[in-house]
Amino acid sequence: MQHITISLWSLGLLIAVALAFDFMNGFHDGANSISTIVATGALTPKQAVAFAALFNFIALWVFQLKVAATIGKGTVDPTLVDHYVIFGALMGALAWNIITWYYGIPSSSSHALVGGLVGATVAKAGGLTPILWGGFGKILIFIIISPLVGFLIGGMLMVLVAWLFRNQSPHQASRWFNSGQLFAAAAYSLGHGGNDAQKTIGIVWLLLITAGVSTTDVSTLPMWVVYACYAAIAWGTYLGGWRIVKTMGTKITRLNAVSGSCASLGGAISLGLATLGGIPVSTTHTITGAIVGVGTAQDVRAVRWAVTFNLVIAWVLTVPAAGVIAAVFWYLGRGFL
Amino acid sequence: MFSYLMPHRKEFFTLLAAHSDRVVAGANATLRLTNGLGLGSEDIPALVAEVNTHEKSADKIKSELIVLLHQSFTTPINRDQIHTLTIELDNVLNALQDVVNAVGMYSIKESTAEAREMAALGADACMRLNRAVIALPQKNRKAETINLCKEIDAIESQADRVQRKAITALFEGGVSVWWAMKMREFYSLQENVLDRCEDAAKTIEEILIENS
Repeated sequence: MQHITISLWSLGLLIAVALAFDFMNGFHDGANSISTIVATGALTPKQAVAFAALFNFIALWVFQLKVAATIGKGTVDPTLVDHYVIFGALMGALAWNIITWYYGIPSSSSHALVGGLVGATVAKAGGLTPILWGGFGKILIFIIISPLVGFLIGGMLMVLVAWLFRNQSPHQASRWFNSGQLFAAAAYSLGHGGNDAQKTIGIVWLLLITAGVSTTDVSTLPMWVVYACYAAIAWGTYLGGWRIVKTMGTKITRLNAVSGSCASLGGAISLGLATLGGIPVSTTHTITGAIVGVGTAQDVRAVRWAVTFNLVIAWVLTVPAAGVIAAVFWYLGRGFL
Repeated sequence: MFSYLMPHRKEFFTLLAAHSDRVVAGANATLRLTNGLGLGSEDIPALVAEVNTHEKSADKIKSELIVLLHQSFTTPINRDQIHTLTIELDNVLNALQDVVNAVGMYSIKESTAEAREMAALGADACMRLNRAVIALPQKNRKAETINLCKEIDAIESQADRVQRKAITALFEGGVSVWWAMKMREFYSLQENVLDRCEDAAKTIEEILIENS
């Protein structure tokens, strides 16, 4: 494989942007796992963010780097990727995240990243040939599947709990969930860390492959990349997790200790399965699916379908929009990198 | 889709229906008592005892329902609305009990056309309330149930008019002051039954609107 020459500052800058992207991911989404444990008073906000950040990081030892591999070598042909492409991908994803944040659309930063990567690569190649459909197709299909799996598992867990505790009032049942929700939040934070940190690992890996520092063999990936990416997302969660009021848990339907545990555990199982299968999925969409499932089990009218509809818009738009913006940044990046 | 798999706890509807059955029985006994006053055709003390028995039985159902509320993870309709409805059904029976107890307390020996009309309206409203409570779990009978609630509302308005007419008749006829005082109180207790039926009908309407 032919390697391109990348100046050290370009390489350092791009890794820094990638880690910033990872940090923002934790900053935005870290609160999803802890909103209910804070709302029910199981942990103080400070303890809860530290708890979520810790489990984000522990995911490092739990999951193999399969998601990173899908992003790094399974989405587009790595031989066509250069630092301009990576720059375009990261900037496209960041720009789309800012746009959707401004308009309040619950977009997925993971889909934005994948869309950006594909958009910038296609712009460089001038065609669709560099797309590896086996990996990219899987990611596209799971944009739809992952929230549905979250919905099914979240809803089924709620049904199971309702039958197990059918002769207790919700208040009595919630006592059992004081520790249950800690377990669910820990599992969710593991899933979040595992799937999301690996997307950045994949991007940095791709960058290192193009610079000739690493190969497509996972053993050549420097461990500092893995540690840095997991640390970045955990740090983001630690600093951003306090924005609890802004989380999906209160926007879509009201959650208590019981339904919150079911939603978190439903999200965690779905994320865990995706991570084990090496599929990069949106953690936000997966937990949203689980929350909607739990809400539907309790009362269909408890679900604010308008928020859920915004999510569907985000499904359709994110990949192409981030791709187009990434293509523009790829073009601009050639001028100064 | 998951709501179909959740435990359904139909017992709440069964208990509410049983509660409203007692309301109808109490209203019918009250009607017979009011119609029979002064005619010697009815055993008045036995009818008073019958209403009191229905009230006690309704109290038991209410307690059972409240205990069940505390032992259920899911409820077929909003938990608070079930609680409100059972309390309101209980209020109707308490109001009926006040009417029959007033007969002995104020020593009312005969009835009036207006008192009989009020008692008939009360029995009519209670019967419709019973039908509405029984139809509550059946979503396909929503329109019919809302109609029953509106009819109860109309019956209450009619009872208001009857009460005003009755009070006017009391003071126009130059009857004794004692009789006027007793019957004025009696009419107001009868009207209270209709007011409580209207409260319960409003709650049923709220439940139907919220669950539509």
